[in-house]
Amino acid sequence: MCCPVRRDSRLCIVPPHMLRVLEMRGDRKTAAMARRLLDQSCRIRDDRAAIAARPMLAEGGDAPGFVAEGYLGAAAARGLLREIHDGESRAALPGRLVRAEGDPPTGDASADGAYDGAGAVYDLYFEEFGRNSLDGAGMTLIATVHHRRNFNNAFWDGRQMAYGDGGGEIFRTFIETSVIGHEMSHGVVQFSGGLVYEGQSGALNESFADVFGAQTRQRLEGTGACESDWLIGKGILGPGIKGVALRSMKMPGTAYSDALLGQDPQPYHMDFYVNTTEDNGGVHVNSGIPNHAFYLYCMYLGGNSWGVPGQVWYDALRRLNNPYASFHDWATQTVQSAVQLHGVGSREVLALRRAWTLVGLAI
Amino acid sequence: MMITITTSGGIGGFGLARKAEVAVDELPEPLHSETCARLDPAALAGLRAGSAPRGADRIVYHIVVVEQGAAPSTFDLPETVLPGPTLDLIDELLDFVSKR
Repeated sequence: MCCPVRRDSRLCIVPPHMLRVLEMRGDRKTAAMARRLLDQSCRIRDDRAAIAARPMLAEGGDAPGFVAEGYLGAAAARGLLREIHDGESRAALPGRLVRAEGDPPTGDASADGAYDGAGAVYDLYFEEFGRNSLDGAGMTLIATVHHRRNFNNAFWDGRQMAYGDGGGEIFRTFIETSVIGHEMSHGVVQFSGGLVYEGQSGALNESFADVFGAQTRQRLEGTGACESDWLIGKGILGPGIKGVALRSMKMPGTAYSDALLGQDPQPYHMDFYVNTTEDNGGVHVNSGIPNHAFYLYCMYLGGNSWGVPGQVWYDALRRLNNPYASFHDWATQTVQSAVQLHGVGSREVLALRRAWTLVGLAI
Repeated sequence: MMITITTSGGIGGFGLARKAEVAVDELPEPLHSETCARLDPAALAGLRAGSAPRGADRIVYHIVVVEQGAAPSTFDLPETVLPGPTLDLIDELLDFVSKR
């Protein structure tokens, strides 16, 4: 575990799981030390060194959470700042700046779609949850489009979003509102205490990104919970792929069934939880369980997903002080948030308990 | 030398869903030279000790290099430990193989 060269005897007895939390939450110096100790080769990539870790601060009040520095106190004034770059089919990030905040459309559908999508996600978090950008402190939303050649992926790299064009066969684009909301919500998780990207905590990280990606799309389209199709990445699959989306929150496991991609492997219940070492312990597979719980909760309550259900999920993320949270930990936290917001015997709490029970998590 | 590249992870959890089996000796120049340099087992071995990647939805590359008379060398490399030019080379190889 410890670096043989710049060994630090104070931290070498610290177990890896603690180092990973320190890397995630520590100030710049602490994060760098934790990263160095985790990195057996002591080679920290230049791009990662540039990422400034932000400390989590205790919020006051009866049920304090740990929140990003910029989230303390009242929401700041609206401060949307976007930068869209063209990766020009190369791997280097961020690429050539093509549209900054307030610039007119470029005429490039991907660049303009990423710009508009980032605005929709910012609006969701600012107007509904009082959060000023991903870090709560107004950070610039940086995105790169046309990332790499025929690249079949979109991701959050710790400080920006990147979208490939897709090769046309499997994916035709990644510029879709729920996908943009998904990637940016990984940033919100990162700056809200973090969820380690493996196993159940990783699946929760994925689920939070899907939940808020879905909310972004539903809010933009003005669809309530009962009218929505609850698909993530609707329409991004290639024309020859037998499927409608990447994932379905309404019916996990039914988004696609294709000769090339196989069957959508997402479970909707803990009885079908998938134990695997692939994909960081199945983070994109088992996220179907908390995804479905959120869907059920929205259906029980009716109205808009970004209303009561979104508020409960967002509050739970802010108050969850456990980067290694299990599904049970998360479900418990959402119930505690619902109790805090609506009262012990409220309809909002009873519906939430019922939703979790239906996916096999009795709270 | 034969190189096989598969992937996992990504936003869908199933990687890039593209596989490349490359007979390096059949590659045209300069692709051949660049592949020999960047995907040489010794070069890849120097990359795999990187720490866990930050971010989400990243790709993991599973690269198997088979050299004549030697046991296969297997590498599982998150894209975060691969330099940009190596990622560009992989894209070029995937493209080359798909057009064959």
